[in-house]
Amino acid sequence: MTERGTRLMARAALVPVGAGALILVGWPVVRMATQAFAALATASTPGLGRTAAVSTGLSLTVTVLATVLGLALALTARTLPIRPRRLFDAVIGALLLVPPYTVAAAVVAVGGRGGRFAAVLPDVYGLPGMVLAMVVAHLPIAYLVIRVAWRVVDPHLVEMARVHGARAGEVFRLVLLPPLRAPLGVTAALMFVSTLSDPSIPAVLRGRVPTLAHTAYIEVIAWGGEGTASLIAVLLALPVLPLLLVLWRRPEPSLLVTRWLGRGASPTLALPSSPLVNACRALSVLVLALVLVLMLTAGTSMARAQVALVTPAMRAVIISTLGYALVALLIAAPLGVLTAWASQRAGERVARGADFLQVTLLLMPATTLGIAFFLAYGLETPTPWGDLPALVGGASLGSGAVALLVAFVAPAVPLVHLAVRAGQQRTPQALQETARVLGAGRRRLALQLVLPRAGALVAATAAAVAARNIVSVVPVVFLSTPDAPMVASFALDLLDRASFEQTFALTGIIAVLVTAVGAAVAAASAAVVGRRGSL
Amino acid sequence: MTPSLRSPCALTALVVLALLVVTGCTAADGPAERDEVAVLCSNDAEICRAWAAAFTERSGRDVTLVRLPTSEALERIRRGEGLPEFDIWHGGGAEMYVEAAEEGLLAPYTSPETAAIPDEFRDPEGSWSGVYSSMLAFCVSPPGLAALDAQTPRTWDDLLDPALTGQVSTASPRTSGTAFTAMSLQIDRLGDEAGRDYLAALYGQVLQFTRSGTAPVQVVVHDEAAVALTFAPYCEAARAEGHDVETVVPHDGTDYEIGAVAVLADAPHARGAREYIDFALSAEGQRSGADSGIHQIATRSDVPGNLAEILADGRYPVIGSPLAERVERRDELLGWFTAEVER
Amino acid sequence: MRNEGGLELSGVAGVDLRVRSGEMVALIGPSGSGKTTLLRRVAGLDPLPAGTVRIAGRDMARVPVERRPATMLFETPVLFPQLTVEENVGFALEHGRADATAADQLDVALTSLDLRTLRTRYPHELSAGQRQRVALARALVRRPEVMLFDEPLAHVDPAARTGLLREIARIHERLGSATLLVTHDWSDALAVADRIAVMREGVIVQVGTPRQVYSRPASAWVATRVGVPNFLSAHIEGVSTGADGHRVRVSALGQRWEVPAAPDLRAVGEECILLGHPHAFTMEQVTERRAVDPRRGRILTTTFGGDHVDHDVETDAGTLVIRRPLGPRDEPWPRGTPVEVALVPEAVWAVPH
Repeated sequence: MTERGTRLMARAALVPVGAGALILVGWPVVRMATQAFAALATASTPGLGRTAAVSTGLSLTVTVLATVLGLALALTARTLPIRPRRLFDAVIGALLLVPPYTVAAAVVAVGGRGGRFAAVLPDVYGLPGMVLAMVVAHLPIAYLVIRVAWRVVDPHLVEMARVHGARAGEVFRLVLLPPLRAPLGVTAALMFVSTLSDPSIPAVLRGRVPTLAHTAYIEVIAWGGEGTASLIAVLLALPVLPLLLVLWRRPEPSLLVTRWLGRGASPTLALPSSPLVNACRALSVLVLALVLVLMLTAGTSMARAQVALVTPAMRAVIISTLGYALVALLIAAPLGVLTAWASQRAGERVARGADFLQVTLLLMPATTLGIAFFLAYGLETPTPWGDLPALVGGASLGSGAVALLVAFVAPAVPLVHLAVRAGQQRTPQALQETARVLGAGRRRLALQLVLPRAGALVAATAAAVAARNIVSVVPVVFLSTPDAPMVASFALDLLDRASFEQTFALTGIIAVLVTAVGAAVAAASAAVVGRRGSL
Repeated sequence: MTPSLRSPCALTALVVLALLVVTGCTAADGPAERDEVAVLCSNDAEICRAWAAAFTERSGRDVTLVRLPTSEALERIRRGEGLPEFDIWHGGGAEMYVEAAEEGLLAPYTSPETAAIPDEFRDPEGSWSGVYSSMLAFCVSPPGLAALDAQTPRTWDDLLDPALTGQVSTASPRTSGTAFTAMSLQIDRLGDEAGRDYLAALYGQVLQFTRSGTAPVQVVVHDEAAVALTFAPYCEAARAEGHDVETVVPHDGTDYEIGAVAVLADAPHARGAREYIDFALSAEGQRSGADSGIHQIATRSDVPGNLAEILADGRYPVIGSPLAERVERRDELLGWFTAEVER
Repeated sequence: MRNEGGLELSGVAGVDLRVRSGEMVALIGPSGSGKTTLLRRVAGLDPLPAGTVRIAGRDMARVPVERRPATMLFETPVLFPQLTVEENVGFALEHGRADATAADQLDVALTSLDLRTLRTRYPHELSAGQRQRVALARALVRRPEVMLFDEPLAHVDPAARTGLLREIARIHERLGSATLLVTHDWSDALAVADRIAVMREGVIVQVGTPRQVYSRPASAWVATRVGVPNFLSAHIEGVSTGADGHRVRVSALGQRWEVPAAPDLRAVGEECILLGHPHAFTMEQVTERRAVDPRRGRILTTTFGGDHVDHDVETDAGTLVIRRPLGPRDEPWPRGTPVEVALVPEAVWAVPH
């Protein structure tokens, strides 16, 4: 096929995908925005200003704390030999498998009125508890992003700085900080949005402090106005806009995804001993101790529970969630690969546009997506060509299955798309040219050169998508029904009734399953894309 | 995998296929067979299961059960208009049933068993009938109170004890009929202005508002609060399970909920639905809920200890207002709650 | 301070080594011989398992890297990628023994190394040679007691090497510091070093002036490192120590010779190796090769060197590389030419086998 023909075909392939995205995401977002403006215009959202202020302050605090602690942990890890460093990675990384509501439950188990250390700790309900739970829940993100960003740090640079007399602070400022600027900026923005739009920690620990996300959650499930929910959904999306603007003007994927440097541990950095390094070490010990206490308390509370930890309803919920997550992956993965392939073939401008739209979808707060979808498709939508069926709720098409699948697929497709695009760009130009000179056509290039290099990345992404779908709270809690029970909604019900032990048990089972499923998906993806030998 | 399967066209086809399969597989087929009844239940989950089991045993019909809190159930019924999903709505405060009836969401049916239900506990048009009742009460934790050095609250004013700040658990009236009943009671007890003042003070004592009306008792059982505002049967059930809690009906006034049952308009299985109503209104039906361990008050006048009997003998200081009044003030009160308390 | 200045290594790398202020010692040895490790230990980047390092008379055992009065240039020039040339050099200013006129110092350093026109450029815009010059300028402003160069010319293109080597020597002269220069290039070491230390498997096996190491390698192994091509086995027939130094009598190439020898060659009958640079042998053209004459040989290859020619000559004692100076009218002898070979005794050096 000619170049032009391929380009046309690629563009044609993007059309149905784009149309689907428009119907399932675009229209709900537009509808939600108009509802939000209407609510604003009629001033029918009392007290929201205060709620927004409190939420913003809370998220800012958590973002700063999580970033600082993540830095301290990453710095300490990087100065350790390989084995202790891996232990760090394992403990902090394990937190990724723990949903935020479980962290909140652990905080209550430790410091709640009936908690182990209730006598010595202040009341955890309200801002202190929420800050603590949110920091612990988001710590792994900051930590891992910094660890990956610091893979590019040349230890010679540290040595050179030191032989020229640089103290720890200068080594940090001149060597360690520069590679962090872009990734940390993006991560901080995303953490801010994530903490702002998570309703599950406030559901457990809010006390009497209103937060935007939890208010939106209540507005959706309770008596009340859709106007407030839409307005909140729009507010939650606002912090993402400056980030999108930056990304539009600087479209390098490296802004979002730090260059992956492949296997092997980075060399240990020998930083000068100083109050800064010692403080980081002390903070790291504190954080690890805290995480350990939370985990141990959760474990012991399960051991002392006087009720059955695993119920038939729980089993049904787990199976249901797993099923949806895997089906969603089966839909999202090929879609993401398709859009990535089509973007590459369709020309640079189309590629840039497609990448940007994918990034927008990825960065949009899941709460916003969930609310938008709920509001748009909770009822039948009249169109000039007939009614679009309701897609949300038990009374809808597929008893709400469509909504849930869209909720899982929507953020997953961009992940796969970006991973494949990053993989496409990983193959060095010289290698591609050499291959072509040796007679390799496009297909062989793709199969034997690009895919193996991108394979690991795509496999990891697929595993991450599967894991995330299973663990995610939003937008699931806005869309699930008893007919299609989801782990997140079930857990929030448990926590409403202060059934912490059962929540821990559920989390434990899910963590094991997620690890197994993630590993299986990664292995399967790696086998499919495979190492077919290189040219 | 052969190279052809990896081509984008094949992938797209796979996607479409998967989508169709999934939607098909997970679509709720609904009670397509003749001997099934679909019930939307708004009582405690265990009671719902007990009702369903008892009905199945009696009639041989299978029951598809979906449990939703009352206001969410009403929303679901509204959304299901034109797409009938359920035959029966069973459980939940009658205020919601009144609203549903006004919106034409219920199908009137006068069962032979209706005669045993006093008029004041059912809809005159036959759209719904009250089948159980519960009294509003405090569920207190004596050890919890002792640790706080607080007295057992016996009146609504006792709840304002500073020692109980942050130690009261109740649901949000926006999501829970139980909580709305308690809220409405204060207006009945003290009048509109004084009632709202009291509510503002009471809600200042609350730890955090739960979603479900049955949750506050569990919060107390787990030692996260010392007092729960709930319906008495839930507290009694927790006590029967061995937890150290005590039911206290406030001296200065209480109220009760009437839990109802109704046939939904356009019910797919009209005959099965009517059979269900007959069962729910029967003495057997009204007693079957107790299999769950939660003992709600029957509404039938021929069941010992029924609601009319209890109201007449004055053992509980029931204040309460007519259902219609409660329904009327609902939107305004909840609006006040949202603006003044929640935010 | 300068009296006691310089670098002192005791019990490090198997020897005691003293590098005076103003002296440059080149460290030569094969890859993996421990040259870089030694440098890193002096800088404090690697721990010192045994021995002491003293700089300006001060034991560096408890002194961390950033406080040692030493600087190091790495094989690959390491600059802060986000700082300009000027900022990179200026960075060292804050930590050196800066005078009040820091800006002047910076200017002088940039001018000295011809970097003024590049002062606003970033490292990624410079060539390898230019980057090393920036690193040198940084060392210049820091004015350390000890300078450590780890193969600074390894990645510099040939055209720039000579110039950079000259700069290194100049900076060293100017600063008067004790300098350790690691290189694998023998000619670089010869060109700039005051002394040469040869390292093998983490141990210094010979230290001496370039002349000493060149002419009197401590062992056959050192000889290979300094480029000695000719090794002749011989038996010691006699030993003498006198005003001319330690000498041994040996038979080689059909004759008896008395040649200078390493002091540890003492036993008559002991086997030794005669080391000789190309100029340690002479040869004369002969008309024909007589059989069974150990002095006779035949030219195998010819390498023209401008004012000389090196011949590989096949003899009974093995192939010898012999240099023949060329006059203006001389031509290189062709392949196959029969020659008669002789030793230049004073240019040969005997070492243990």
